[in-house]
Amino acid sequence: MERATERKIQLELPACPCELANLRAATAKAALAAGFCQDKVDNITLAVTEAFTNIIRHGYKEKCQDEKVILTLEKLSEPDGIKITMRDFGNQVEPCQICGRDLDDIRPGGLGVHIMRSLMDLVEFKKADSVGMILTMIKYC
Amino acid sequence: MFTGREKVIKGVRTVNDGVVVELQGSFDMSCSKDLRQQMMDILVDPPKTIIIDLTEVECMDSSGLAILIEALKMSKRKMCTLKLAAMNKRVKGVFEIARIESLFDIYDNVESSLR
Repeated sequence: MERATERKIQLELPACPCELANLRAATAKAALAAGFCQDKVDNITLAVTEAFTNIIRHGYKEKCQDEKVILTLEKLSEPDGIKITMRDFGNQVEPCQICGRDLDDIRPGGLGVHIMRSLMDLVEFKKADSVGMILTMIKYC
Repeated sequence: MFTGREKVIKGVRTVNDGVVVELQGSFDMSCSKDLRQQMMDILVDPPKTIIIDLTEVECMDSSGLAILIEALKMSKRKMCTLKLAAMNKRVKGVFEIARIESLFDIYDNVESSLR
């Protein structure tokens, strides 16, 4: 499902790894339209990929049949940029407990949040009212 | 453009005292389980050298990185050298953000990794 205005596009995606290519394509298109250069578009797309992967892995515990993620991509102005919101309906966690691992601890996994925070100007997790989490990320041009 | 549904391992070929594992497409969660299993299969009885050819990898995320870190650790335990070759700017960027470039032997292309 897709709803779009000139400044905002909203997509409802199945919470499935096979949607990652669609997610990247939609994010890259919106970031380009918001005026970012290709390098920044790649970074924003990577941050969104990490967020989506974390939702599947931690929010839905990889049991994501019939589960969904609502992705909103909004062009910002004054200052120019992009605001990305991802709403899931999975497990809730205290936002203060969401943190990347120590980079000196070399092991597989745990890098997603670190990558998101490194690439975006704002990364904010909130518990939704009833179930699930709302992630907001902003990048300025 | 890759849709994400292609096999990530495009091919495995023998060279000198090792193998070159050619990857393609997007190296992310959509392929990570299959790829992890295939990498672990290669590492059960590994050759002296494994070269991961990233020439045709468009992009990678931390799921891909996790597999490479695991493969590196396992290869060291088995006295096998793991090399990465021909990563594009996007892929290199992920290594830089995670600050793990120094852990790996990274080469500009497969030819230089064979020397």
